Amino acid sequence: MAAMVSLALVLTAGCGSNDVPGSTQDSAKTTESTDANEQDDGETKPEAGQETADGDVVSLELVCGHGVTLPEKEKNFVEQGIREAIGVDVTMNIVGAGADYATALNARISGGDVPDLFIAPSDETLKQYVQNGIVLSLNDYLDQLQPLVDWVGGEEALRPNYINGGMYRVPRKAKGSYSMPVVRKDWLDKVGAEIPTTMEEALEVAKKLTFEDPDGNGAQDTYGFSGNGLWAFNLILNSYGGSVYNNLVLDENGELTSTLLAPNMEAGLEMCKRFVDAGVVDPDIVANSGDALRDKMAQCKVGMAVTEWASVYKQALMEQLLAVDPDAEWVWYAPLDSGTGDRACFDTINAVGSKGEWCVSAAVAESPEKLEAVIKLLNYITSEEGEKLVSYGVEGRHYNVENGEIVKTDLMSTECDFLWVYQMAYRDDGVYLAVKFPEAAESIVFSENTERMTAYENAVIAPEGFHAEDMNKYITENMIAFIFGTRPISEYSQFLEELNTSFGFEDYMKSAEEQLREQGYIE
Amino acid sequence: MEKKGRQRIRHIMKWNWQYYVMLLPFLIYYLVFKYGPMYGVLIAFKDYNIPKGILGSPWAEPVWKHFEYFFESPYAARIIGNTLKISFYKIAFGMIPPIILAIMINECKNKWFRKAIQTASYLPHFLSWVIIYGIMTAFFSQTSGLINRWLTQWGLSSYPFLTDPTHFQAMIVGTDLWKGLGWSAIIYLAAIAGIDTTLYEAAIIDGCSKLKRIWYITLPLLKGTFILQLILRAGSIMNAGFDQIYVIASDQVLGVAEILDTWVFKEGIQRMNYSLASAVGLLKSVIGLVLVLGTNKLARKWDEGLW
Repeated sequence: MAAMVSLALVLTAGCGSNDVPGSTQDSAKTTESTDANEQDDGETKPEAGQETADGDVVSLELVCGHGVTLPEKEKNFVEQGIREAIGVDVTMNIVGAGADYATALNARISGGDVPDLFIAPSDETLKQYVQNGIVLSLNDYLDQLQPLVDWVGGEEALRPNYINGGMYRVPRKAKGSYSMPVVRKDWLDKVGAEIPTTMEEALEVAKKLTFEDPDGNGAQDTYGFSGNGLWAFNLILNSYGGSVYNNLVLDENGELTSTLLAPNMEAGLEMCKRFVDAGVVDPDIVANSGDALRDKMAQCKVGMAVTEWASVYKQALMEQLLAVDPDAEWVWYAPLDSGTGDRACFDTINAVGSKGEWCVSAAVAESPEKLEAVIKLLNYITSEEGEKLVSYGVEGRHYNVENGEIVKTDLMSTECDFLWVYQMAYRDDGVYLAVKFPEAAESIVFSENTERMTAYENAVIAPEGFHAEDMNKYITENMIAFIFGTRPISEYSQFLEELNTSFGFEDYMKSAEEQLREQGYIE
Repeated sequence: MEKKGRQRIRHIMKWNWQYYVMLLPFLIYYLVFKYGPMYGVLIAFKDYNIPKGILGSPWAEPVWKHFEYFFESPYAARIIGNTLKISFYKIAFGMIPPIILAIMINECKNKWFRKAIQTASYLPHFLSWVIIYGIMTAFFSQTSGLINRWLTQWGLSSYPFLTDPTHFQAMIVGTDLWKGLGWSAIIYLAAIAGIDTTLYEAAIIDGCSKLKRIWYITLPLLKGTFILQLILRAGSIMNAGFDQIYVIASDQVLGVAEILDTWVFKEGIQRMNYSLASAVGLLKSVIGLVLVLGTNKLARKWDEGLW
């Protein structure tokens, strides 16, 4: 293994310098076209060694693992717009997605080649970056980043971005929850069922949609219940006060508790298992990714799906869903009642804002002009002008302003698919969605009004020596085991005991309570 | 005495210097790429910090910290258990079939047919696991796989071949056997080809049937090859097949499929716990070395040792 790691280091050190457009080379190439750069807030004094031909353009490399295709550099109007506005040459590189992204990025970083700004693959890796001194704490620059801070919601909204006392994440505006359950209404009519409102009804509906051949092709090839990963079972568990995750919530007395400790958690797991045992659950449910689920929905294999409005009701996606069966009618429905007295709800919203995705390389602080470029960039994308650019594209081409409102053009639908990658501090989501997806307006409102759990874990910083990701992995494995029957649910209390002895779950909860009390979230 | 020995070595080297020159590139290769990087195992005993580098990172406190953490985590027993189990199954079920296949191919009299079978049987060896996983999904997927489609058409219920933890290890061993069967048979075919044909002729004259000839001549003479294979596989018992399992195991079956190598990869490369990953990797290598030495010692008792 050691040999493997060292080899990886050698390899990436070698590749890194070839793959990445050298900053000097890039700026020299592009400065010719940027004499329109009349922004005079920049007193950038190019220092010796920094080869900026015209003395104006600093290059920044941004790296992320999002699954989008970017236009070519010359046609990338966002990067051009940023350069024209603030004189910073931004280059976004996408290196793999999912676990591949973590592999590629970490290999590069281990080779000493750290991108200027990048998305941390996971909380645990970011913690490693922090311990290794690879990422920059933005604490010292908060006064310079005031526009960004104000935009995301002030000092309080910065809390989820702290690790060991430093703000290592670029803060972002809070993201709402898009999730919702949907069902094939036309199939319900065919098998003579109603939209379910309780768990028992949902189970019956799922059985009918599985075994009564709703697509009428004579073969039993449909599944009543599917979703994207284990998370789909939260449609059931959340209404029992539980969750497949360790969500920190307040109980009815306002006391902090974990969804794992919910009094009806076991009953919720039993209900999940009844779905599985009835044979109505898509067997690939845990492995499904966004596209896999949508494909199955389009191929008429799924009756009820736990998904997001954004995967169903956007016009382009709805067209895909109707490609095979134009009569398919997907309708959303409210969270289900469990009959245990717990509030019917689905999914969580964060009480304390969202964690930022992006972080800044520590090396940036060593070069004053790079640091200034990063600060300019972050303030720009949250300024009125910059936010419009990264949200809607170019005025006159992708949108027009009519009576103070933004109206999209046809080109927005075809040319602006990749913009969200540049929304490093997120966006004004309500306005954004209304402009971009007027066709989904009703579903967006429904998703906004859906009953959610309020989760507090974002405000909690894991105590020293607590391996949050290890514990979460262990929780996930066991949830799968309980739901799919490989571990009897009667061992649930034993499982909680294991969390204590192996990971120090109780200490974590104690620390969480202290922290939330300190911040005034609980009495 | 010692002086004499040294003189002799110098003498040998002088006379055969061409051979030693030819050996040199390989010695350099091993030094540079195998022994050189080994100083990196130091990070198993350190709190590795990337900017500080391997030598500059502080020592872990205590030095066995990462080993301790691994053994105290709930994973250790399960991952080591999975690794040993999967390896053991692969050896137990994977050693005999290649011999049978080799004998069957050898006894096949139609030359054209024999060549065709042999080629077809070792073809899968050249496929990568990613492709094999594609083939597996086409056959075994519960929703779209061919076999499950047959099952449902015959009125039976479908079976989650790829997501059911109870039988997933069998899937691992089965696909590995399918992939490697023909390839492993080649070495036995070569060994069979090396058997003196006069032995068979004598046996025919003595009235031995075909089965008796296989039983009394072929099999005993394959013993050496068999034991050699066994030693090699025992040495790699801690390698249960990284590329295979990394590709085909989904989260649902990770409980029975996570092995040391996949865990080390995820922990080290994806989560950047280099020290912990190296500690576990080192542990694995040490056990592997002990096993190779052990089996070889055992085999020497039967005069079949590697060295």
